[in-house]
Amino acid sequence: MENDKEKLREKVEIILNSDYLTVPTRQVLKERQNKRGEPQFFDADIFHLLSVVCNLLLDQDPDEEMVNIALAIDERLYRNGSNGWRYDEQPPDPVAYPLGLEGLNAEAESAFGNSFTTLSKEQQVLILANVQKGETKSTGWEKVNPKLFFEDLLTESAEIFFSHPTVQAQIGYVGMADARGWTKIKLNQSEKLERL
Amino acid sequence: MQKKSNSKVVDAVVIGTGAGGAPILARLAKAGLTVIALEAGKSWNPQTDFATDEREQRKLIWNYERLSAGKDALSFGRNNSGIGVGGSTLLYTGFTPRPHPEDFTLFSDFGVGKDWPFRYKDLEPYFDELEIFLGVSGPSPYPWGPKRKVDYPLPPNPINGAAQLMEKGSKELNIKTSPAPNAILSKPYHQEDIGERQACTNRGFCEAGCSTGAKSSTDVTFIPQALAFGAEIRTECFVTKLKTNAIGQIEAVTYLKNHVEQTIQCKNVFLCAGAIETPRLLLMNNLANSSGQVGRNFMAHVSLQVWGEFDDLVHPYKGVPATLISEDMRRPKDVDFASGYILQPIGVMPVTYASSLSRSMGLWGKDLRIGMANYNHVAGINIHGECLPYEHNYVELSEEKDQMGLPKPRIYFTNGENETRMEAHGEKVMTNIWRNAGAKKMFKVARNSHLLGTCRMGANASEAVVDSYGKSFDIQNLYIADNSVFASSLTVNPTLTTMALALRTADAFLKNYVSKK
Repeated sequence: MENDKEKLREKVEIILNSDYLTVPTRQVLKERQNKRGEPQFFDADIFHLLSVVCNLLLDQDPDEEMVNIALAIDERLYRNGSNGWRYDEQPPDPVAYPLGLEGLNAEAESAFGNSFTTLSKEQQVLILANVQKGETKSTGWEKVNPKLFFEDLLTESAEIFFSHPTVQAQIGYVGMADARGWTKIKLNQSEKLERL
Repeated sequence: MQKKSNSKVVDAVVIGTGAGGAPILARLAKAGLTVIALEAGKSWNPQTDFATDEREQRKLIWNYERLSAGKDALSFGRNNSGIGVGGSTLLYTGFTPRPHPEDFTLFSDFGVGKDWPFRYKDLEPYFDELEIFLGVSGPSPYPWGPKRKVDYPLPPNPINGAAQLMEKGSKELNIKTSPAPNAILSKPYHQEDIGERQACTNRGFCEAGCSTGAKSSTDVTFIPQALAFGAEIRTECFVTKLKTNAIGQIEAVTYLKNHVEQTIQCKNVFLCAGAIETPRLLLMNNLANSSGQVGRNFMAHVSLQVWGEFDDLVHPYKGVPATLISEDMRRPKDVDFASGYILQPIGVMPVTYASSLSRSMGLWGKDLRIGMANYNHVAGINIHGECLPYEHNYVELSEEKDQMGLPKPRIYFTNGENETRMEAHGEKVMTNIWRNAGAKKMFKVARNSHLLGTCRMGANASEAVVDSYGKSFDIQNLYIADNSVFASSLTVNPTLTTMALALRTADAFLKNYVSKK
């Protein structure tokens, strides 16, 4: 296990520092790799809730977090960034996200009499599964559609997670190392970096 | 950069620099006219500005929020318009099959949808010209459609893993496949006024911006040609107003640059902002809408994907994403729907794939991680099929304002019965192909793509916004050339046709304008 993690770290280092990366690609990936910061949009409690939810959505062990998903979401909402569209049914993200997260707490209270972050992992998963299906019991979903909130939060979390160089290396993606292009593009062919 | 003074009256202002605007800009500049293009986004330098990173490259996706409504509300995402010099061609995959003659006679053949106000032969010379100009790589002779007058100038791009699998799976079902035509250079290509462009390196990143210039987006083809002939392009200029004079012609175009309004006086306007922004601008200005059709008839292809997991190592990020095509289903027999669809294999980048697994499949937690762990073993097939125009699918202005204080567009979309039946047919065909190719596991991603219609062309002002040359029925010096003028969706990807329409519009305009001048 430790060994695997060390190997993955080495692989990421090799890829990021190789001359198979173009200058702009290396710059973007290294910046992301080294990204640190504090939440600016959410208060500490809601940010903690968001972190717990994001880690569940990506099955990420909070003690060995590879990607701080919640921080990237916080950063986008803080600068009021849009990805060019949203479901008409939902309010704008800076309104919908806090409402949806409050909704998770309301569901937790209604089902288990406690706030979301204090529940067991099994209970948390159960609540998320119900919200995904739109099967909510609490009040507080009048202004935000639970299914669509879940879909948007999940998709954004997944895109952030799988944009991270460590995660990409883990699934065997080395497409970023394309400065010299690819010559072995048929089935079952691998180039040097793909055999790392 | 601004070169011409705003006090001069220019021959034409072109709004947008994508598949519609760029060809017109080049054509008009070449004819010696003074032309200015206004582009909402930046001018990119692909070599230094483009990273091989999907998240970074979101900067090429239209970022003024659109509101998506209807029973099949589109998740615009990566299927949204592009922004920057090049427009949506920055994001297209370069897949350039021609429409077929029967695509233009949908109503005559099936009694649904619309016929186009001209026929295939009217566009054919432009397809011939464009394929040479863009440097399309493809097979000659081409196995479907009418006999061609010209061959593709370059041989097809090399087949990748997904295409090999589709080839294998189709063969046993007697579905004919062929290397696909792509506006992506398979060899270095030299053209006057543009220079030498290098062959594709198979980096597979077409949908998020080509950093090598091998993909024939307009920023490396028509735009350099237009600049060589003296056209001016003003970037980060968002057009807000079209001012008309006493006789109802447009005399000035107003845009916002860095929140400051500027105005250009002009003799003609070519509106090429795409199927959402074009009707949005006209609706905001309450112009060119005596037909009541501005914003109506919005269409988006039936673009179902079926993904398969294989034992084979696919590495779906390598190679031109769609190097194969089948047009056997353009007019399938014994089916319960009108028109048909094309089939193509698809490669995929990891974030796009993660997005499909999460948004469309609803996978999360361990399931999502397992799905993504198989990323290197997946290949997709995709259809693009006819979408009929409906009353219930349209673009309107909402009450909500964007960052410039302009009303956000709201887009309604719901598939009709024809689309649903076609999708079911496509699913069956694609599933069979993947089964024969050895897929262990399959799943489908239902979606609609390509933004079409909304200012359709037609025979008269009672049913259409523009005539068969893209000229407004209401405003004598306004032309529209982009995906919005499509009378029907066609059964192919739109870009090649949009470029052909644009050149046809430019030629018709010039014939008249230059003789009068």
